[in-house]
Amino acid sequence: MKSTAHIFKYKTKIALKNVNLQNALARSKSHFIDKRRAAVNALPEFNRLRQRACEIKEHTLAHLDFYLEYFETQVHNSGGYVHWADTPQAACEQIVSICQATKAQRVTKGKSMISEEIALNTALELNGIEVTETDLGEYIIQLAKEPPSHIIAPAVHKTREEIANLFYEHHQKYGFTKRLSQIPELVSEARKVLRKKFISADVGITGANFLIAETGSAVIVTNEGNGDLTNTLPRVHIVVASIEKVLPSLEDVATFLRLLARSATGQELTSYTSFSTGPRRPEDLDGPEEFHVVLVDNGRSEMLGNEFHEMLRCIRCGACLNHCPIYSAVGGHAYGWVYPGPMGSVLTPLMLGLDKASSLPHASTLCGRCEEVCPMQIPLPKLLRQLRVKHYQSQGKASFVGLGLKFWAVFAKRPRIYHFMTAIIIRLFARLGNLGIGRNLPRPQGETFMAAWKKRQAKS
Amino acid sequence: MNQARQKILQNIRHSLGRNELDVNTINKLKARLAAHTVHEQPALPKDLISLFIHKLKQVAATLELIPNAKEIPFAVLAFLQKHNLAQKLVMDANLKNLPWPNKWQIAYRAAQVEDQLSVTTAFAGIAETGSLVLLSSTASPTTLNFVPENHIIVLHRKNLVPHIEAVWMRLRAQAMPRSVNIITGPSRTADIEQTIQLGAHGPRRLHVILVN
Repeated sequence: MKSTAHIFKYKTKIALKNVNLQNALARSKSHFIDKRRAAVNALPEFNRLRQRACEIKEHTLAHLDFYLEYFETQVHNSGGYVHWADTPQAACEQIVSICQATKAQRVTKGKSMISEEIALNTALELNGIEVTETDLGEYIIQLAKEPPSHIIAPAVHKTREEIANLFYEHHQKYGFTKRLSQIPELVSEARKVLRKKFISADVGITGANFLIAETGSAVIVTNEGNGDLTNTLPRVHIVVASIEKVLPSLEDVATFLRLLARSATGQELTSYTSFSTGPRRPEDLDGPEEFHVVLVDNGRSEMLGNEFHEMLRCIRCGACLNHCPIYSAVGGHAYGWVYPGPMGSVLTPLMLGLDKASSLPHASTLCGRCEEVCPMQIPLPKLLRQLRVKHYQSQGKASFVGLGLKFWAVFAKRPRIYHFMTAIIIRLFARLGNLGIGRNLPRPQGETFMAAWKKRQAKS
Repeated sequence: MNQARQKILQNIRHSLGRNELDVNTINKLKARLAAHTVHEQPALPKDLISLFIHKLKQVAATLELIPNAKEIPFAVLAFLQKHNLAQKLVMDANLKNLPWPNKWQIAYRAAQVEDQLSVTTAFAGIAETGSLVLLSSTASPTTLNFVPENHIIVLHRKNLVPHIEAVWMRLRAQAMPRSVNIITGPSRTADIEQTIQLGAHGPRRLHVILVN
């Protein structure tokens, strides 16, 4: 998708005035935060697991070449194919050519952020292939022609009325002509429409939460079961996954599973945790005849060696989004590309170029909650600060903020003048009260801190 | 494609500041893979059955405890009656030898869209999370776990394990099947206004028959 990350500031203004969005954000915020807290509090071992998961991930990243090659061998041994793609274009081309080789006309998809990153749907559609997103949230935003606004709850910004309108408009052709209003009816209608898509699909494409080197398996965690219908019913299953998804063994994955759902939705495990290993066996009665894994790099192998390598630990749980005061105020679309929130503010500039998303590293109060809740202990505030430094260094001329600081420094270096000026300004502000410039500042009490302190000292 | 492979692997090595790994390191990594070391696990109470039942309830699955396998058809009948379902089932072939009523229509095959109820056997149950582990095989195709609206899973008590890692140990005694499904409650979604709704794409009801 085309990025609008460069107009982040403009989009935040629109988002703050969008009533539907603000209601949706208010609702989802407590939902995610409370559930996560309860789940984490119920597991005394959580921090030790978190520590262990970081160790496992760092170990894997330090030997990433070995584990990827081992994974590849195991996929081959189970009868599948591995394809390598260094760029989004290469990944799309490979997936399109797998689809064309099997003369696919219809594709169903499980929820996958990497497929958003490489803009896979557009590539498939340009080649005349019908793509249907089957995760309910993804399906809703596909109908609305919008990008996801949250990495695990893509339609979190939509109200049920908006969804009812979308279904009313798009489901007429399937014979559903009633306008619905209740959530159970909406879910049930989507189930019926998507059932037909599942059965008629030639290829099923899923992402992967983890790849397992030991067994050559791709793991997906879902609640709806759409991922499993996607990887079982069509005759070809394609897994698209980025290279840092690989983990060594089944035991290693167990540690991550204990962290992922708790951090994301507050569940101990999602309804379905599914391991796909190769195509159907000769004696199986169902399952795909072909199993492909497309490994996507898109800049990750370079991140491995630079000061942002900790970002490769991310398991896409969304906890940093849910706990971010900026995300909670403006929602995901303002960020302008695939990944929103703190993790997105780090990833987007790294993937698209800092010049195309220079506002994003500043879209943080650096309050540190994202790092606190991150199951992989990624120092997000540190990474955001590093991007700010890079951005500052890349600017040839002095910025508006830079000039302002220089102006302030003239006074700050001369304490007498500084105190004199602040005393005047504060009295002026106290008299003017609310200036009406977009936000209400508390009215100053008419005295500077220094003056108040002197008085207090004199008293005692 | 091979070019991309070479490029990615070279980039990785370049970023890590090294060449291809030496034999010594590779052997160490292979040894790590072969060791199957279990990491930290949550402490669990001793009574696994009670824990398992408690966890099943938490994820909105239902349960019936029965003394022996001969009772399975009665437990299935009770479920059919409770939910007013037709006596038409699609089933895991491992259950073929049980005394099923003659008038029931029972199929042993992959699931089809019109199937309303499936009955399968679990490879294992996990007490830690109230999960059931199902493996794809000739006898139990994966579609049985996802296509019908009602899913009954038979779990034998001897297959109830404390943690997921115990499943891996048992799984390694056989070849890895195409599909391993760890099922924790019925299908659900919260994609519309964060309201949990059961039966999004998979089964609306998940019923466990635990054979003691």
